[in-house]
Amino acid sequence: MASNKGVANWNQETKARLNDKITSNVNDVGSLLRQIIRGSKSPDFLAQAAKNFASQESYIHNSHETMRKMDLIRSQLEFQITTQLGGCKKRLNSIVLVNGGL
Amino acid sequence: MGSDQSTLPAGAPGSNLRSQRDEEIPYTQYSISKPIDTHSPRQSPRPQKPQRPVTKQDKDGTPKHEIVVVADGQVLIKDPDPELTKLNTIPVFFPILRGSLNIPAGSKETEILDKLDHKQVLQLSLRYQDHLRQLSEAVAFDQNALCIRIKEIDHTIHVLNNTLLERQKKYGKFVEQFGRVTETLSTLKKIQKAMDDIVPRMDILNSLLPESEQLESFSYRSSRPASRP
Repeated sequence: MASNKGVANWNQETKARLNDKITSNVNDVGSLLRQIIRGSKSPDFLAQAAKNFASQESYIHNSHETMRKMDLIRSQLEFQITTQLGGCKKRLNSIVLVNGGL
Repeated sequence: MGSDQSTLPAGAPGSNLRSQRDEEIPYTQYSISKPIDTHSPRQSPRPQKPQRPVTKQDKDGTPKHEIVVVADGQVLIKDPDPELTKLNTIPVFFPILRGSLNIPAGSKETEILDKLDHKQVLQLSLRYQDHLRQLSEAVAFDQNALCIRIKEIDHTIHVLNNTLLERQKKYGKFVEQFGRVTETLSTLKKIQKAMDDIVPRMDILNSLLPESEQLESFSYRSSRPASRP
């Protein structure tokens, strides 16, 4: 009985120690990986790149607005050309007629 | 009684049947087709020299299989099993954790002290770190190139917009001139209509006058010598 309890205690002790060892191992692996990633400065570069790209957002917005204005202008020009310049031949003809009449 | 060849499975040494399995799965020939009578370990269905004439065992085979089947017991036993020899040529190496090899308890004491070689782990992690750095540099480079491109495109768009604006102003002036021309035209047409209306009435009135005071017929095509140089 006593030996049984002693054995049981010793088992639990080993289990607890194994537990601690495993925990510390996992923590070490975690810190090692953190060191690797921080040491390669990759998150710094990537964060900088993302910030730069985000600052381009204003340029993109400006370009978008400008293109919309350009589209308006283009449609206005198209309208002008088709109506005004299309009728110039007719007007030339009528001018000639009037001149002939006068 | 000997083995009947048509009843043997496909991979067995004496059978004339061939299946795709035999040829497509390397390294399994020894397990699929264990030689039934082992007087010659070379008695495998694998055609080593396919053009060899068949032995008397193949007389029962169909003519279709005669070309493929080679059961030649005349091959010299130079290479008993190529797969095994290939396996034996692989050098012996230990896994990373040498303790994970052997289960028998006798060798456990030596492997408790067996730890990871820190230098190798260090080199591995350094390599990984370098790899991450290169990846991040490539990505950052691409992103910066994109930024520059965006700025260029923005500048180009603005330049085009200005060009369009200038063209629009010019066309506006043209349109205004066209408007004036149209207005002048309409005025002229009105004048012509009015003249067309007035001239016959003047002729009528002229004809009503007595002969002495009749004006000559009105025409606006008359030559004007005073204006000619």
